[in-house]
Amino acid sequence: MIVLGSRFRTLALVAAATASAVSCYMISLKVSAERSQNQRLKLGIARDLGAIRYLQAELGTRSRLPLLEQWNAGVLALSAPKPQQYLDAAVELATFTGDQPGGMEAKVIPAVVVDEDQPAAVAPVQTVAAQPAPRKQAVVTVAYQPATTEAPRRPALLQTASYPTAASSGLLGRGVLGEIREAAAAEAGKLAKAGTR
Amino acid sequence: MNAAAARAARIKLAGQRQAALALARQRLVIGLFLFGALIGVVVLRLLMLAVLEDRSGQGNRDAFAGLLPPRADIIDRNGVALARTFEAYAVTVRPSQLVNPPEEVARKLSQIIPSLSEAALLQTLKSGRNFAFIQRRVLPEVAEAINAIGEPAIALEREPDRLYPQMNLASHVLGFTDIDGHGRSGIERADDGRLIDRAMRDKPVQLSIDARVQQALEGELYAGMVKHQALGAAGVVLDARTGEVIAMASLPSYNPNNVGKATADQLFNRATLGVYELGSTFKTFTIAMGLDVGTIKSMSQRYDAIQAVHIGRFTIHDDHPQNRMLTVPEVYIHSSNIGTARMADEIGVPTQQDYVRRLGFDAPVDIELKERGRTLTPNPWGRAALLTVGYGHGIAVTPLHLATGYAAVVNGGIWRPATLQKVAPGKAATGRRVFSAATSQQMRALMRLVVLDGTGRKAEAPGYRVGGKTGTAEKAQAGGYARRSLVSNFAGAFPMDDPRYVIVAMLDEPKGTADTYGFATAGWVVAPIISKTVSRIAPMLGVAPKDDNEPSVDALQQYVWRPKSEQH
Repeated sequence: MIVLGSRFRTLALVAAATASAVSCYMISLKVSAERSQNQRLKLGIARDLGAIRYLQAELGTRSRLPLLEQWNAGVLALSAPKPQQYLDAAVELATFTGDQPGGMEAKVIPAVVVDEDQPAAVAPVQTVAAQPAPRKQAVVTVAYQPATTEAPRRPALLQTASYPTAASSGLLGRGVLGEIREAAAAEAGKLAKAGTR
Repeated sequence: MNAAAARAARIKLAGQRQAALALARQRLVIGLFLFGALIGVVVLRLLMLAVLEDRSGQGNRDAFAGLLPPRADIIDRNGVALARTFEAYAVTVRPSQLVNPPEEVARKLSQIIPSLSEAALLQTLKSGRNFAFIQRRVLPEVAEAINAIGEPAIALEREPDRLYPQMNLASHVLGFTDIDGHGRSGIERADDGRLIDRAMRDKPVQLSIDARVQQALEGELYAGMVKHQALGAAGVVLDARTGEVIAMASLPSYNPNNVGKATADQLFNRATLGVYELGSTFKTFTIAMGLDVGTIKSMSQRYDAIQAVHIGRFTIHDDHPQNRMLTVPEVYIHSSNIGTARMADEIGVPTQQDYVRRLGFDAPVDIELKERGRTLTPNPWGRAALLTVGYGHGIAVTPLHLATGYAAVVNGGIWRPATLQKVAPGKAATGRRVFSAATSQQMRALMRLVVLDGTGRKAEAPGYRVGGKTGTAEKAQAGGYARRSLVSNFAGAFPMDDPRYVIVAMLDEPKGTADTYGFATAGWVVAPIISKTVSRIAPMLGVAPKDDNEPSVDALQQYVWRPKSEQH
């Protein structure tokens, strides 16, 4: 055994040295491969960051505030919310419909849901977004209170099942709403289903 | 020597040899350890070089170096980009080295860039010069098309290009850069060193401006300017507690992306460079001075507004004559020149000068911009000047001066310099005390009363408790004042029960319209702009609307006389 050991001793040493050299080289190779991949990734990130910056600038330029204001003046006609449209607490929101007969007994449906079966009860959120040039009466402010003097406490944020349909109020009559619905149906229908239900 | 002695000597010798051997071994082991340690160090160093250190020559810096802009971005207080820098292409040509026939190259170039005429291009190409620009700031697609011509004399050079995504918005605040990338106006000029500093240009410069508020102010001012055919307009929204400029507009404005097309009038910053006699808005300061030094002892103190005041060659009249003795709130809400002149007379020249100096009206306005106008103060400052300065004539300041002065009146009496840098909470400048807190309290109520019952009724924005003062001054011209050329302005603050923002708007030479019954005074032409602007910006600035009337204003109502028909 000892004889065998002494005979192959040199061979074993050479093998060990070679193995360690190869493994060292493998480590070096692996590290350099990792590093170059890392570098590629970094370059990719840098390129993407540059592209993001470019796109941000383009988006910022296309949606610049003076242009938005111009569009608003010409098409959307949104106005700043009135002080009465701000509510301090949830309780105030709940009492908002208090003056409607039997208002609170009914089921509360959020205004953004468009009910296909109720032509007159189209929610203002959808109609404003989809109708490019609404008539003056139909213009609804950002906080969704319809500009009406006939029903100043109208529950704009909430709809109740017992709430008289807008058709009977005259202001948002069937004609206007029908028109809005037709225009909105194609665009808003999909959106409403996907986004709110 | 006997045998015993010889044995002893042998034993001794053996001990010595053993000791020497042990020492040699010890040294050998130490030597072995030293060599081992040396090899260990070399191996460790090799490992460090191979694994930990990057010897590839392409560090992180190189990958992201392209992202470091040659000039820092400018953003608003909410992070909206107001100015950015990109690498753009510039098309250059060396006419002397042209290979293809110039006619053909000119034809192809004008097809790619239609704005360049073929004749002009041909002239450039045939000039035989060594170098010429054909077009700067071309799009990448255009650059590619030009490359495809294949003319070696035409080169595409990359150069940094400043882009202002919001176009005209806040153009006077931002300013612009010249062709070498140095700021020539606005913040670009004032902060030029910081913007191109290699160590800091990866971080954007954050301004105190709020782009949304700026747009609302510019939009409403522009609408008012067009409606009343004014020559120009200026407006400022200032944080009353910190001196931060939330919005500052001067109209007509220019597009900083294309400064070459801007006229001198468009480049002129009316808010900081233009000085105007602002008229009745100054009465606020006179009454505050009177309350502060104690010449006005009570709100019920009466001033004679029946007799015009004669001083030297001047006669002081009232624009809205009441022809009776007026209480302090009445002098203010009816904007009585006579009453205010009498108040100023009681204050005296040295005191007035002292307050004017402490309000910063004797020096260019305190702000980072370099475009700052020199104010005009009376010289000599005699009694005539004392009386006229009392109601805002004979002293000319910028709209921004007025805004900082009003901030001092409403914020509890502390004057602070205006700043375009965003101020972190609690880091506002110390400022200096001009008025007492009690004076400030009383002035707030008076200013609110002007909007509820006086000349500023049209400035009311329901729910936002606007208070302020109108001012209409005739423009000075050679030999006197121009009766028909007015500078109409309004300075105020909201919400008046705890003022947070000061707002100043000014129209330069507005004309009356049918719905203002031909009037071009501030109460008719500028107050509606304030009302509309405040209704838009107050919700953005987090001011909650409230309907209650302030008790301090109710207390003042008793000093205001109304004809029977108006009593309620």
